[in-house]
Amino acid sequence: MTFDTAPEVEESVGKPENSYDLASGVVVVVFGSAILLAVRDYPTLPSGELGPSLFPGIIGGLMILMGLLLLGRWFKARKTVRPAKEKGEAVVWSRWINAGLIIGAVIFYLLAVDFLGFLTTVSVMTVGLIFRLGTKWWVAITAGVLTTLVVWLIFNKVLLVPLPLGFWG
Amino acid sequence: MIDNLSQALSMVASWELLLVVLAAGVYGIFIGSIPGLTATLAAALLVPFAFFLDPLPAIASIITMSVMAIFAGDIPSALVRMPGTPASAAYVEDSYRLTQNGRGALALGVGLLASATGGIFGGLVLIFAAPQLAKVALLFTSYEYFWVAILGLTAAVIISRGSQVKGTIALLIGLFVSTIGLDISVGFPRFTFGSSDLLGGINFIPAMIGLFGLSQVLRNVISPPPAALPIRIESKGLLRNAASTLWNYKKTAVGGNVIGSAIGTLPGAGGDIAAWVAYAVTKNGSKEGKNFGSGKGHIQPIVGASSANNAGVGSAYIPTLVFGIPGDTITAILLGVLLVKGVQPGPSLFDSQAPLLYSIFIVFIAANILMIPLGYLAIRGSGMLLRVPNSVLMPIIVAFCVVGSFSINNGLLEVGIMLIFGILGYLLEQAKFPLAPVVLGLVLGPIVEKNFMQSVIKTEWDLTQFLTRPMSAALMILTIIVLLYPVLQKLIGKLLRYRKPL
Repeated sequence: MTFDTAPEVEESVGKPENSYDLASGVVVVVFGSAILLAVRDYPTLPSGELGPSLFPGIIGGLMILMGLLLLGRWFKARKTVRPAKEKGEAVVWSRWINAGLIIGAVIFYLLAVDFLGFLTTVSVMTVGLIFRLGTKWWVAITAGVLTTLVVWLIFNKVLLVPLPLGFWG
Repeated sequence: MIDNLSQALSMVASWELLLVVLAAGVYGIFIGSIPGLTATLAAALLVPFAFFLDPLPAIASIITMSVMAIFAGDIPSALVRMPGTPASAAYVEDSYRLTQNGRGALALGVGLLASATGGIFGGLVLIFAAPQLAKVALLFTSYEYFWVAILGLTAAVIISRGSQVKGTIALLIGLFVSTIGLDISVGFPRFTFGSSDLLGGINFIPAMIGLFGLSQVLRNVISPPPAALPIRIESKGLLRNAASTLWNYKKTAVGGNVIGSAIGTLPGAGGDIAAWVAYAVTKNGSKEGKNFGSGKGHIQPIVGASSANNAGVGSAYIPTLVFGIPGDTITAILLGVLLVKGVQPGPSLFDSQAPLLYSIFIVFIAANILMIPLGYLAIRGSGMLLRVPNSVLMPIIVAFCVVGSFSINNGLLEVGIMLIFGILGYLLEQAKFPLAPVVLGLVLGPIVEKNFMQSVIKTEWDLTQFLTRPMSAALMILTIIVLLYPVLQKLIGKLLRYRKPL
């Protein structure tokens, strides 16, 4: 419920605040180091000073520093915060599958739109997702096809975006 | 001024603009009143449309939408105890308790009028403060702009709630992404992995759509908001009662307006933080303060915080228009759109594009007035708004995310970027990293780098210029104060604690 910069009102209650700190700290340090490695042989300015590598270099360095701080915080807090099993929040696999299907739907668009065309691809995506998320099949078909048509009318007819026709064209 | 104003009026008085404003208003109310869909998400999904409009309707649509969405966030707070946008989170308990005790109409009516007056107040602050600041900003050179951008970055991290280390990391991610593509000093391709599509850098718009649109959908399907049936509210005599109640609390309202405008001006702090601060101030200043958020619910904190969050929306445009430093995530997105449209925000805007600027001011005031009838209708139809099932809504949002990013460049690369940022946004939120600094880093990164490189190449690496120019030095000191703020706060807190036993 609270996103953007909103403070965590209730979310922080059950979960230890730093349960992700170890993983994120490691990822950030590794990523920062990768940046530093990548900019090592960037060219310099004609005058010999650092050019293109300066800013990414600073960013990479700060990332390593911040990642280490995060790891330090995790290390300090690891004993006080029990790695509590999240009670009452059993892993609901079907929800993760739903999330996977949403990502899959976008990938499906990437792969299929040039061949199937916009109308077919997006109809399949929306009808499938709406049905999967727990709506009756006829609602899913109506809502999905209607959405596709509205989106197509707005973008293709009003905003004049050339949406791919696929093999229909 | 009169000349500019009349030109602006003729620009504003067009059917196209009216239609755009009305549609954006309805859209803002709709998204704002659905829990879990934020005003930032609304802005990100609106951008593909704004992209195809002229600069004025594009800006007008984003302004109207955000004004409406911030108000509409109050509706589900009162009806189902879930804030529609983070800006309404501060007083959700009071609104909901009022509704339970049969005074929901009053809570929403007061929220509506407080939002509208707050928004107008913030708009007036913008109209009067921005041109004055622009005169100062006209004297700025690349050194000062470097410091202003750094100040914006610093403030974004310090102000964002939660861990500052994580805020900084979020900012660094945004900054890093902004360095992808041809570099500014010698045109060297950075982090493109040999792909010519990435030479121009990561397109800002699909990144935003992913970060705030798709990631939100993922979050909603993985942990769906609990379903709750809205309580019906009686809307008879709503505006009249609300107006007289608001009048009784006029001092609180003015306080909220001032706080909201002041906080909105800070880079990186938007309506939500304004609402929290105004809530706290109202609480401290009221005899009833201790009982806020409990019992039968109180109307006073709603007056204070609800006027503050809308006042913040207006004043967030001050740094955006004057310095090109966004005041919050929505203005950051707007800034991205302006740059694409070839409008360079900054002091010259007040000179060269004065009619456009005055039109923006007019739209601001008009949107807040339009909010009263639209908001009234929304309160009456609120039961229906909240019955749209998530299972239908989420796939529709996915479709808009995909088409929106595709249409920016008619390319699949943008859809891929959107997908990657969607997953990134979800992971960051899960690990409790704030998202706002990512956007600010993305927008401000090139500004920082460009002004720094220009300055040092101009003077052959004479770094002292950054410190010795009077205005540069002042901005630097300001940055250091902001940076040290958390330390100072702790110190003062410690001193106070030591004094207490005495």
